Amino acid sequence: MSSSGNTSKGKIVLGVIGYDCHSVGNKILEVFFNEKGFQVINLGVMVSQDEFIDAAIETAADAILVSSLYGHGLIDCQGFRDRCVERGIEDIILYVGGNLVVGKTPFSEVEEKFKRMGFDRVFPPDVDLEEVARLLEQDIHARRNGKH
Amino acid sequence: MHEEMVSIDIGSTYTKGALFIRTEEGLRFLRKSITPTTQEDLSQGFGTVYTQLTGLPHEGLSARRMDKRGTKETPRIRFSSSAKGGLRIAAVGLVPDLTLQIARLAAWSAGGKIVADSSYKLRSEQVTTILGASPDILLFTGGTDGGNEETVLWNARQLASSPFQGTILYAGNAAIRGEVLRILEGKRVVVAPNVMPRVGEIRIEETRQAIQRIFLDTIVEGKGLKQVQEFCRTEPVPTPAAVFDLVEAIGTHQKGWDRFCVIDLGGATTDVYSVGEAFWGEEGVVLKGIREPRVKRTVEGDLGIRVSAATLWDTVRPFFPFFIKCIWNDAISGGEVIQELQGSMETKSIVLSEAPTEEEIHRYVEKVTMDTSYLPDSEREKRIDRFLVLSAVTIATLRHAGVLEETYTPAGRIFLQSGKDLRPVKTIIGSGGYLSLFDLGEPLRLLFRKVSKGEHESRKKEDDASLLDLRCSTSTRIPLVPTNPVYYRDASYMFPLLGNYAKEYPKEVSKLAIEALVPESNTVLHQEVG
Repeated sequence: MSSSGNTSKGKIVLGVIGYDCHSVGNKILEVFFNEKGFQVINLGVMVSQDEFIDAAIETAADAILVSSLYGHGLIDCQGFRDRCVERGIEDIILYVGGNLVVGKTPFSEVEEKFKRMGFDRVFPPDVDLEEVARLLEQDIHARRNGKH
Repeated sequence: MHEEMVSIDIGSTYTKGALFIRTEEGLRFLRKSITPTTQEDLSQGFGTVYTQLTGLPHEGLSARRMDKRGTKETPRIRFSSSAKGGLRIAAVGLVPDLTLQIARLAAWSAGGKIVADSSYKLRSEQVTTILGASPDILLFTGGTDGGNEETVLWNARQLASSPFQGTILYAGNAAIRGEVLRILEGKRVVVAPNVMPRVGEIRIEETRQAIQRIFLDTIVEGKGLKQVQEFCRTEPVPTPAAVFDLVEAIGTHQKGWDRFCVIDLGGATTDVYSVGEAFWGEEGVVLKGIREPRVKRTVEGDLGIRVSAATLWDTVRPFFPFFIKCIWNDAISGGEVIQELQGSMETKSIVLSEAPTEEEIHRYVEKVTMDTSYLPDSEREKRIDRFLVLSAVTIATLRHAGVLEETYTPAGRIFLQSGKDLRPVKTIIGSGGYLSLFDLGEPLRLLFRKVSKGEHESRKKEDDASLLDLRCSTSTRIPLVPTNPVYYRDASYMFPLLGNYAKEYPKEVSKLAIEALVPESNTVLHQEVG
């Protein structure tokens, strides 16, 4: 394949899923990942699964980063990976982070649930973004090498 | 300064022309002329109109005319051509709601009509469908710049190995343009910048221009158009593109004309043009999908009152009780029809006449489909025509307009908007044929009010498919049609003729266009100068 799109550390689609309108964190993520050298396609707030996938297809993105802060993440993210498979981007990297569920569920359980749903990595709200960027770069690198 | 300007539109049925005069004060209309289009040699009808307008000979439209003019200044000429009912365009995109939708918008704005479309990977069946629709142009999009390559290259290979003979306009992922061109070697290919360089960003102006260029280079061949072109020393524009330019000029230069629609209904198609922001950023409304352009055109190839009467009737039929109730009975109480029928001896009996049955309309539709130049020969038939017109306009507007969907979230009720919001549209201008002739403000307001309340349920559950087509399925989906528009008529059908000069003299032309409009009230503005 041609080298286009490989000039950055990777192309990522960003957005807040469902009917969640928390926009501040979303803007911070956009600025942060841009500065880290990723090419960011930010869809903003209240993004549906299909909108994430539409954007990822048109841009040939490496990863989709889903945020959810209002506690309904589990329902909103249900079937996300399956939908990616159905729509032909089965190997895309899927990350999810934020206040994913309501209540005091231990994070390990939350992580387990989302991983079973096909997310590659799951992050709590207090995650160190530097760490996320590092993992993301590593995962994108692996995906590209694995693919070609 | 005192310049005469000729504008001629070669339509599929009539060749129309107007003579304008441009002075320091602006543009004035002098006279118009109309003659049947001479299909076998378009230059003949063109010449007739030219001579009628200017008094100058056209002599077989020889280019040498320029030398013969003697001392009299030869007026400037611009002309448009409907090109056999419009440019046939096949749109290929990647994601239906993104690049394919933008490709459609681009094709429409250039004056084209979509005869086939395809998203994701082209398979042999899709290629067959496209070939079967015999498009003049295949608009090939997909991917953002630097985005998707796999599907776009796949589609290029499918097109390369297909027997498609028309022009392929590539306006997809610019990063692989070279590769696409190599694959399509041997085909006639034109390129334009990507219609969606980044997700959600629409860039269609260059594609629109490229489509018009292709129209000139490949479609305007034969039938005498070449001669007309040499005679005028200028190139034609597609008629709908001329109207589009005028609509844009009005929206840009005329005060108070920042939100309006133009509807042009003919025997074969219904065109809807709109000017205004697609999304107003209202509290509690969130836009989904692309933000549609400020000036938008759509064309419905299945909605017309002659050639397309049968397909129109197929769409209307499930909603027959709704439409007949609004259009037949309510129009009477509105007084609009009574006024229309004044002077007729039969007024009373007609007004009180029974609404037609489905079968009666069906028979009429069959009749006009068989004889597409048919004119109604009774008051009742006129009213059936009116029924067809109003339902076509309603459906075309619904398809042009976006929709609001009511949704409940943890933060309360919100509305999701997709497509273009026409609710704030202040004015609807009817142009072409029937819409130029009759005042339709009252019935249209009623129809729009009813559909926006979701009162157009079909009779049977099985009709849900066509309901969706109307883009309004339940009460929580609100079609964004104009809420309270006033109706103006382009009574002398000047829009295409003025549109021919809209690029050069946008201010003057748009001013004259709105001055020539006939408002709804009984006071008719006489703008024409003899």
